[in-house]
Amino acid sequence: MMQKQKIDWQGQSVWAWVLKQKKSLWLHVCGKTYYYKEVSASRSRSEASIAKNEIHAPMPGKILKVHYQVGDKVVAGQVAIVMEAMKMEYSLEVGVSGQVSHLNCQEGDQVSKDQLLLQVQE
Amino acid sequence: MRRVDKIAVANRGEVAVRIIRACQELNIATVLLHSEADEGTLAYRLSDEQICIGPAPSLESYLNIDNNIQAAKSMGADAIHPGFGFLSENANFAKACEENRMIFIGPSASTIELFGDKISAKKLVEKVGGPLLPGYQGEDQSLDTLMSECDRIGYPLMVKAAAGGGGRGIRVVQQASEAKAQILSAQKEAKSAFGSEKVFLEKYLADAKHIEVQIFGDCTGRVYHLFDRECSIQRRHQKVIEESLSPSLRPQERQQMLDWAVKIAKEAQYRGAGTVEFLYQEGQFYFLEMNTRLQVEHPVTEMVLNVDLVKAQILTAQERGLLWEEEDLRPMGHAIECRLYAEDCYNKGIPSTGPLLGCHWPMGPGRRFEIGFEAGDEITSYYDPMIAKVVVWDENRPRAIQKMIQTLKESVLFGVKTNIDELIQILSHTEFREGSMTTSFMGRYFAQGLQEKEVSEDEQEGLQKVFESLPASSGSGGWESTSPQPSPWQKGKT
Repeated sequence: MMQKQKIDWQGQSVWAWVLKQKKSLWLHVCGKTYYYKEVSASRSRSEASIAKNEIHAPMPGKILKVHYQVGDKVVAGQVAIVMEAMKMEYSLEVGVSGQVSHLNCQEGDQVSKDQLLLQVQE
Repeated sequence: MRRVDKIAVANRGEVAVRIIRACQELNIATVLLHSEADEGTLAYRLSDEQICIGPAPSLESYLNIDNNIQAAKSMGADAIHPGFGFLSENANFAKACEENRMIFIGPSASTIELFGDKISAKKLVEKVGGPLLPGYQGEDQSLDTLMSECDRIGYPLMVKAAAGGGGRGIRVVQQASEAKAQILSAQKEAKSAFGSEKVFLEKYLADAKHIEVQIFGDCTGRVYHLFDRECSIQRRHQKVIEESLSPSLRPQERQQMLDWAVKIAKEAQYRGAGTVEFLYQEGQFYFLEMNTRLQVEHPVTEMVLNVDLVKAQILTAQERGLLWEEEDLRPMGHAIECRLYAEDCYNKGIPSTGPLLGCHWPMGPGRRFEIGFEAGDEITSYYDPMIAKVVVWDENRPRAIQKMIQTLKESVLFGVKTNIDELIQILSHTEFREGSMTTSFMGRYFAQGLQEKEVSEDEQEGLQKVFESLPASSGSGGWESTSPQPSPWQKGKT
């Protein structure tokens, strides 16, 4: 449960709203909201392994457009996929230049959060 | 007078809550028509009765006319309030309500149709001599005619679908050489999105303000105007911050705009709440469209005029008169509304979904919170990401801006990321403070949202210390109470 309590913050004792979960913390202090995630060794490795040559769905939604096919050449920063979620459109860009090596979605697909959509061979 | 004992609410989120509370204050029972995904929301808990109208996707629930009608009928509702969005401007829905002997709370189906078709709306405005953008809305839809009309109007201009809405079927033509391709592509999109390839042409104002007039037709045929709102802060056709009155209009311009809005509404024999939207640039204003429903931003009007628009809608549906006297409707002070979206403003505004783990709304004089969710409710990806609206009133605009910033800073939302930090930056921007912002403001200054959130080393260290100093919360989600012993309030309870 979210609670209001005194914490030590920037050398002062101040009132804050806090909600601690197992591995994370929500904190509202001095007019700002922070989200803190405990970084364990294994987690940081797995996060690093999500390489820039992959596009994952940032949220659940529907694929509106896929601009490339497997084998196409792409340049970093180009929009490869357009998806729709919550009535809005989002453009997903490739992070590196290279050749599309793997495509895991097509127009009209419903995708889940973090699903791998496209891979680029540098 | 028509008897209304039970109203079906065909909507969700904060507007459903707003309508339910108005009904409760008028002693009218409510039944919420909800999707499978919305059982865990505030409107569900507040309404007297609830009935499921289908699965989460809106097309199968909130946009399904038949399901809504059958559900409302089976629960014995006398009237349906559609809120905004979804079926609120659907003439077929209004017709279906009447055919099933339920009152549609809004204007008649024929009025909705008249203003829903952008061309017939313009014809009505033309008839009363209202201010229209130079353009073409003729029946002759041949490519030759459209192209020669483009040359006559001059560039840049817009090709728009006659049956359009929500930004679809719109093309900007910058110069003559692009005209043909853009007309063809607009027609094609109009055909697939709205079933009609009819388009019209309109001069394009690149740097205009969006100013609108709230009007209201009561059951005796009287039309009131309730002054203006400015909604220039918008992105991707979604408004973000609205205020009343507009900081830009000179008194004489305001009077003209209000007069036109009333004339247009009177010509249509308008009944209920409606909004006449205008574009305003360099001292000139032009009719944009008429929205035949309650607007999301209606609270700012309510705050400066001390009226209740939702109750007025319900009373009008009951064919009861209003308490308003024209001479009493005098605006006082200034009101601002901010829409809180569940999105990550540090990551291009990508929606943030999940359970709302905690929230706190800092009450105070002149602060109003329109909420649809409470702690524990889930923000899903099926609908609009708006979680709440924060509305403030103060004696003048600078004070209202200051109050809004303070209120936002004190507002606490845990579990999902929000656009609060972005709202504060917009409110602090010189152009916003001066009141000179136009609809290109967001694209110009906030196209990419905010830069990566900078958490200083001090803050990072502080967070880690706080995290380590707190006892681990029990339960998987950290949702259960962490208090070690029963609280004294539980005494006596069995």
